[in-house]
Amino acid sequence: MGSALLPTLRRKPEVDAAIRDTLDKVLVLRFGRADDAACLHLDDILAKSSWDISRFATVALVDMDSEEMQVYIDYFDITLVPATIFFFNAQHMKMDSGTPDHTKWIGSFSSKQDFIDVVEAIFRGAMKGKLIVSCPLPPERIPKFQLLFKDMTELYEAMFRQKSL
Amino acid sequence: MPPKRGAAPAAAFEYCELCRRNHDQGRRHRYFPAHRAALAAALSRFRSKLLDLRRALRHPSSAARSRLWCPFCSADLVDLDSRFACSNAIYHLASQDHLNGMKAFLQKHGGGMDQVDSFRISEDELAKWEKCCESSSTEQETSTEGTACQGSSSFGSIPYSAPFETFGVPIIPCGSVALHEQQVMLGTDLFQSAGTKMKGGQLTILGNGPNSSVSCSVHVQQRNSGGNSSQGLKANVHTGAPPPWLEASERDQENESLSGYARPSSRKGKSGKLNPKRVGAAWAERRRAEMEMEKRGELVPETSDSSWLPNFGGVWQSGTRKESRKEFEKNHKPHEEKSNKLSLEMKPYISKRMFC
Repeated sequence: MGSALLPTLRRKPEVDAAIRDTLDKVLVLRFGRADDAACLHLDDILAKSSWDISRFATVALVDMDSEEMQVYIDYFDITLVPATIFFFNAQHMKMDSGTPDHTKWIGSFSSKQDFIDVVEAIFRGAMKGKLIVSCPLPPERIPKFQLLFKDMTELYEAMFRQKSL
Repeated sequence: MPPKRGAAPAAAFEYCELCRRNHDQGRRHRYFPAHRAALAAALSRFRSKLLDLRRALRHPSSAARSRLWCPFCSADLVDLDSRFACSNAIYHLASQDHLNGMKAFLQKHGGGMDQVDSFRISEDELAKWEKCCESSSTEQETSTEGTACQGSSSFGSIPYSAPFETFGVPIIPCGSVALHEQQVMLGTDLFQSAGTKMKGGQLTILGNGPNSSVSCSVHVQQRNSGGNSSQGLKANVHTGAPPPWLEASERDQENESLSGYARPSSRKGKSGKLNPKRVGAAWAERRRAEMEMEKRGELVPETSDSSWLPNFGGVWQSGTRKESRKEFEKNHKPHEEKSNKLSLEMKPYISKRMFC
């Protein structure tokens, strides 16, 4: 539903234009794919709150599956979806949320208000000339991510190898 | 015909793995619409998988190990111990066994021998891939000797390898980070595997977090997780590479003439109230001026796609026919006179040469 309400960018020039031409507003780009459960949840939150934040932010979705988007996926090193990236005046805005990665928000938000708070913090920081802001959310509401193996056989194999070395 | 059909039935019940049914139609079976549809579906499925594989072939990486089912040879191609993605599958697809199996399959099920080449990997491609693999592995070795697990360049791989305290599984330190390929996103500590699905080279694991009850999934792409730490050359946001959205406008940035236009426009409107030290203030003002000019048709927007059209000006862009005519006359009158004069001057010279 969310993906139907928000503009979806599929080509690189579209994303370029969105980043370059969104002036004095926060641009929220959601990298993901519409058939993903977490993405759907995030899209829903984005779509619902896009009107509330429309005076200081614009929200757009980016379809990760298109071939042209690989440039951006490589640049932002996107491995986990959904990944939300913030821009202000063609500048990439970073957020220190206690996670290993400051360059993007990984996962969904627990509520609409959380998302609005995050975007507002970024907008306020950007208007003060800050390229990195700290996350206004309490740590328990920030999605954590860890590394895990695809299946345990690989893990055991890796362990075994290490022992044998 | 009838005696043949009568003779066959007792022995001729055979199983078609495409249609998943037993039949006694003999070789006629492969012309049946259901069989043809099943064959087309199987081939197209395999073709799409092969597309992914070809990507791995072009850019060998140690990431994204996927399982491939070869329908021709009925073989499951899994690679667990190789260093590069899909190497087992690649070797299989280039092998003679696969070619034979494919020929037998196509002969049995119909479908045209002309497709044989599209379902296998040629020796040239294999040789190229092997060369790439060799070069990248030597690169890795040399660079891991130096700074293998330094923080700054290895942002993508190492910080993600957070300890598995919650699972009671021992940690594998940075030395074997190259083995970590699949990143899985979980809720904080509660992990309920709601479901797994394999989709090409992508693994999706759904896990429910305790607080948000949001299932988060993983996008595993073919990335060189070990290479991130070792190569250090990969241009991305962590290495401070120039952002891709500014590539198109690099030429514009050098263009200083626009800065003069930027000033007056920044005074008027709401930007006057904004903090001049805000992030990207200069960019916003310059871009706003550019966009204004683009709107007025003075500046042709920089587009690189095929739908680009030149600025014809006049009636094509804005204004009436009369205006454009006047503009044309104003621009072209002096030029015409000049050219007339020139042509008059030129004539005697040409004639001189002709006479000589």
